[in-house]
Amino acid sequence: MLYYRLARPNVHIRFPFFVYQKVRITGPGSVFIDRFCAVYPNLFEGLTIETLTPTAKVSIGQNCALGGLTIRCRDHVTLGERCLTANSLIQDCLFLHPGKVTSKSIDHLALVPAPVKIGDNAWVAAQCCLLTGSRLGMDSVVALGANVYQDEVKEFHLASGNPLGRPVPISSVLRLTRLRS
Amino acid sequence: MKRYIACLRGKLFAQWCALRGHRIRIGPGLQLYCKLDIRGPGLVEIGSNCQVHSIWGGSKPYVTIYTHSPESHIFIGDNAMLVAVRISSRFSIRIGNDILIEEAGISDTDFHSIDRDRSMPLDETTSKCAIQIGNRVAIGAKSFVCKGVNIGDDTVVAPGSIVTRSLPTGIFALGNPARSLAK
Repeated sequence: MLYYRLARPNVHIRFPFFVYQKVRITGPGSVFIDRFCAVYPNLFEGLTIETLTPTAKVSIGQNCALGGLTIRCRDHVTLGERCLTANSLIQDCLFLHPGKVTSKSIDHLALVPAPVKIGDNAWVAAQCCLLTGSRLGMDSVVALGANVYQDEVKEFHLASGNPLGRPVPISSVLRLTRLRS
Repeated sequence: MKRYIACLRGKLFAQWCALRGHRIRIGPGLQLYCKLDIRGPGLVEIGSNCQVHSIWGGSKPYVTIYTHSPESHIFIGDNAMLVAVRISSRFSIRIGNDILIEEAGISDTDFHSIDRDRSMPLDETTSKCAIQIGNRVAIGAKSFVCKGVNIGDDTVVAPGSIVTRSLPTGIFALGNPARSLAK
């Protein structure tokens, strides 16, 4: 915290911040991490935040457990409070070097970054990718290996699949589990 | 300034590779913004005006190009941009011109058999496992290109995709296994 306070004025981390694995924050954009966040080791990775433009903004709410998370931001990436993340990637642009994509098979609007917003108490499991324009509602869960691209996951829904299938209400899943047991 | 240093680094690297023998051939204009790790007994050819970049957040933040047999051949075309790519070859990997590959893995072998002994797979051959990636292809972060895949020209592979089957020309592919995204 002290290093970022002295050397990187665009990075603001509020006390207390618990760090159990390496944290790397680079780039010209601004980063805000609220109080009581913790970085746990997850698949040997810590927290990596890379802002790719001076106007990029990453905002992480209170009480988040960030394990092995990689955030690459061109526009805005917002995590709510009490989010739980594992070794996953949040990238608000399709490609880090969009100028190099010369293929005509993609609409160049798709290369424009769109904000990624994650609601309070969301759980992002390991090996997920949350890409351009993803929106996770409060209390939602993204299952292992899912790939969210320009999709919205509503409140208290479970999303899985690569590409993402239709999110399922968690209340239905819990009801089925209780019926089986 | 960074570009000048990258060009100088590229020239020094190309000369050092030339001293190492004929198994690594680098074209003019290579720009190294990070470490380029080339290992193995096979032949590696990199075209002209290629750029090698790093990105943090993956297992290794630099580019690794490994050959695993003397017969293996990795060919990368002109104007390629490689960002923390991991390329492993036992047979043949050909990558076209004007490509962008970000933080992806490309391997033309499974390394291990699914049988109990986990030895080298015996049924792999160059014709079955060689990888061919066309021109103007873009492959996103955390993707993987498996053996025997042929990716057509102008195809875009979204981040997080696993390419297990060949992809035609000019599509946008996403998923595991990667398939054309109808949006």
